[in-house]
Amino acid sequence: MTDKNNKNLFGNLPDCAADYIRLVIKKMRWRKKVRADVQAELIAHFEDALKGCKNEEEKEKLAKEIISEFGDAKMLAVLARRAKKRCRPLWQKVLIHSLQALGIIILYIEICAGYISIGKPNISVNYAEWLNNYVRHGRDESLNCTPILNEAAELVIKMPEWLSDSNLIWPSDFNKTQLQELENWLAQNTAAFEALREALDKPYYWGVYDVNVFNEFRPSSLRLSKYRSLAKALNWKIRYSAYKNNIEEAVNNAIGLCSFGQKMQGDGFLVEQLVGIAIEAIGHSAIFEMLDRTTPTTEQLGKIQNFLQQHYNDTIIDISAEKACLYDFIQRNFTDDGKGSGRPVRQGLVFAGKNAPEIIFNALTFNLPDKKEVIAQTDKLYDDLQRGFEIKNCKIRDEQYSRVVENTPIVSRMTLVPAVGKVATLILWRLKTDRDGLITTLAILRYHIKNNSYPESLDELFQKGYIKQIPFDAYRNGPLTYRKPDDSFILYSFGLDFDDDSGKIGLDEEGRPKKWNTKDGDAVFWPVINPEKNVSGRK
Amino acid sequence: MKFERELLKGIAPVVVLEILSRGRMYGYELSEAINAKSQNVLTLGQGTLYPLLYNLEAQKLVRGRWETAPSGRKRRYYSITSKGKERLDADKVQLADLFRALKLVFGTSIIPA
Repeated sequence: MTDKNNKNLFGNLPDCAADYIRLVIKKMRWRKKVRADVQAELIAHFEDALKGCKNEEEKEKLAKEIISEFGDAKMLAVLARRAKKRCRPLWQKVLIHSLQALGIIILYIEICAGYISIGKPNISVNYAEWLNNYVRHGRDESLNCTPILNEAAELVIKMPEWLSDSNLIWPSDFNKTQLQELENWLAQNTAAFEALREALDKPYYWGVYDVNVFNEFRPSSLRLSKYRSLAKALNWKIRYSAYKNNIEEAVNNAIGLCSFGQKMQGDGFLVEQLVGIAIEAIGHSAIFEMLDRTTPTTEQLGKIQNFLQQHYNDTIIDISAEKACLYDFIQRNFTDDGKGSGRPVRQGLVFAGKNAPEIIFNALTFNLPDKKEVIAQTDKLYDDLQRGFEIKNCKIRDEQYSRVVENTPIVSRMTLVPAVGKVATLILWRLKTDRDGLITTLAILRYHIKNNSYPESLDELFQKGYIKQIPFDAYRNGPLTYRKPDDSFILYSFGLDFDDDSGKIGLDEEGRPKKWNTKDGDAVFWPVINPEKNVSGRK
Repeated sequence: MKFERELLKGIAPVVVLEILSRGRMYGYELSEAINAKSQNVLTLGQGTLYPLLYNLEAQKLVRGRWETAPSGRKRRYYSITSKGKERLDADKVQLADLFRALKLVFGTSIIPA
């Protein structure tokens, strides 16, 4: 069928002419319609030129002459194609040039992507191993409380919902049924408490970390949410013991609870340390309630105070684990030239800019950060953050923190770091101030038992040896505020608003008293506040 | 007579436009007309003719259209556009200047008056 069509198309042209035209059209390599047009035109040309020929032989001869005049078929095809291309309408030219430009851009992006993905990082340091050694400090495994702590965490029975949803804070506020349920729940947790006690006999806590398939550190042996459940259960155990007037047991458990929290501080991942801080804060709260509701002996008060003072200067937050994670990330996502330098590959691109457009622009212009530079920024960031934790003056610390965030380029590429750092700082100093408030309250109550009056000032308390140092209020950048109106006392921190509100207790959004309120009011340690009670004129 | 290709390159479009300004023609007809009018002096290589026509068409100096010739065959007729006419006029002025200049340089013995 096609041969027949071709035959009709070329009519009576000699074979040499038909072949020549076919060759020109074939070499044109252009749109079918255009080629068909040119072919028809060339056929017509030959037909017109040959129409006067008397026989086939003459036709053949003349055709060869014309072909010779036309010249090289390929050259004619090229010239015709070029000229026809110029005939395209403007919209077609624009479209084609745009597609060509797009193609070039895509090709360029692919070259860049290839460049970024072909580099080979050099995994030379096992940071998981380093971290495991770091948190262990060369200690014997027998000194680690974590395995038994995990057993206790597995044994704990979660707090009943009615209790966790309520504002109840002391067993005397319970009805008979609730009290029975509380007793039952605590009894169910006896095994967990026993295991926890055994765990807390061990002096240290450290986790075991591994590198999972996604190359991220993960504490493989920790059960942080269960630790919190365990702490909450022990909190109620303390309150129940105190309510039942078993003060000695309550005191021991309160010390245990604080010890539980403190063991988790200063090593490991920040999240673990924050859980440790939260657990110690639960312990503080239980002790404050116990002091408010019961009358511990001076020895019992001294026992708690001594424990808290023992660990007063311990490091609470250490962010070396996070730093190791970042080092490991850099190691896995930068090439290594053997001299410490290298360029980012794959995920390492996050260091190439502050935001997605900047990263893309820098990647496309091959403006990539050097490994050494990123490591130096990492060192600076974590050193600044760690130093920031130690700054007592909250206002200065916040200002310095802002400077760290603004001036360390790497920070803007790791959005989580500043947020976590800020929260950690806030929680850390809240705990430290709370700890000072508790130690001082215990000392004042001891003073009261001995002297049947309250000290005139914190300085008197210090001078007479009840406290080892004047308690520091990080939110005032000075001592905690102590007043002694009549036969009572008030002890508070300026709180998160940095203002002296004369011991006015802050309220939360629902109007309930809250110790640490960011909007208004002071963080009042004594008198003890709780949502159920009128806070004025107590004790 | 065969001219140097480069020498003819600038003249060929003017010649084509001039011929077409006298009436529409198809390729072969145009080729024959050029030969006849120039008395076979300006023989455009036939391989040059069609790319030249396509180029002029791209510049919108000529317009090509398929039509049925009196013989009953389909032919692509080329006609000069108004833009083509303007170009032709301009080129003619330039050519006249060129001939005048060549005459001054070579004298009448080489360039006949």
